[in-house]
Amino acid sequence: MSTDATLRELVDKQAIYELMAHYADRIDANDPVGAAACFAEDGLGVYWQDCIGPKAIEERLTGILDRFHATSHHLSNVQIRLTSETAAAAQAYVYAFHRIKADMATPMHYWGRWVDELAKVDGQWKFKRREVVGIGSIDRGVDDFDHPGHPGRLSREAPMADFSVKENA
Amino acid sequence: MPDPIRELADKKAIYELMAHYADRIDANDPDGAAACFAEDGIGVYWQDYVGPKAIAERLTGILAHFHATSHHLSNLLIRLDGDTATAQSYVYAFHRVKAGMDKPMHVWGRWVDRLKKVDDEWKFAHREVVSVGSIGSVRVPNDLDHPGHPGRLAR
Repeated sequence: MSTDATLRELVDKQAIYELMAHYADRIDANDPVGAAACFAEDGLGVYWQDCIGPKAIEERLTGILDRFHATSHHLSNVQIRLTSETAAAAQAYVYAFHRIKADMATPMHYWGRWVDELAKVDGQWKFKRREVVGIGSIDRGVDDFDHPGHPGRLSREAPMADFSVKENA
Repeated sequence: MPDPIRELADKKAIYELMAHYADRIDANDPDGAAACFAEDGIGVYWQDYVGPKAIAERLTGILAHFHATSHHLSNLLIRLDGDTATAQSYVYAFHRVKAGMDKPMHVWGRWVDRLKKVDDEWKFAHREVVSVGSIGSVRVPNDLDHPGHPGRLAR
């Protein structure tokens, strides 16, 4: 790859990372308008139902965010694949702390991932499609097992490893 | 150097300063953490401390509470302006508390920073910890007593 192409790839990946961090910041600022503005005009947000376009996404986010006194969405494990000069696919991990208005004493914890398709619109990266995929949660002290989990998780049966330390092993 | 390369290099250097700071905190090394600040840098740890010496003293007292800590950095947003920058980043921190080894303290928050380049090295000019939530806080009497997101909208 030429130096120019490598540099362009790094710049695009940095811009996409910053879009993701900005989205989390807007969610945690209780700003559904700002978060929805991270989507393209025809962008699809999948929040356990399909919401098309910033206006529908903003309405959905408003309803979700109204439940919380405070949230903190911690982004990591960002993987971005550029598929053309104006398109990308990405996934990122998220752990989110939620202080719930209805029960201020016990926070909710949520682990999952964002699965994204992105498009460069007028020189700016936007979400073309963003889906939240839950892996696990602890909601008011009760484990919640009702999550789709890793989209590519393999199913296997094998004997469980023995963690006890054996002498003279 | 073309601007995009310089921008990427500066952002990388600032990221590494933040990661190094977290590493020094978790190494129980207040001097190493304070050395991440400029000579006239201000650390806001629920009040202002000016310069590495005052910051090291404050951090020494804070770290004395803990048997172990682990500060996990994420969500970096850095805005460069020549040899200065502003930044925010998220932090989740695990703390094993000496006074109650059975109950870890968890803190969620953000670091809000101003930075400057001193002799070609990025340093904190101003660093403030802003907490969003906690479980088992040893600092605040109530885990709901946090300022929260600095720009949180009331709706």
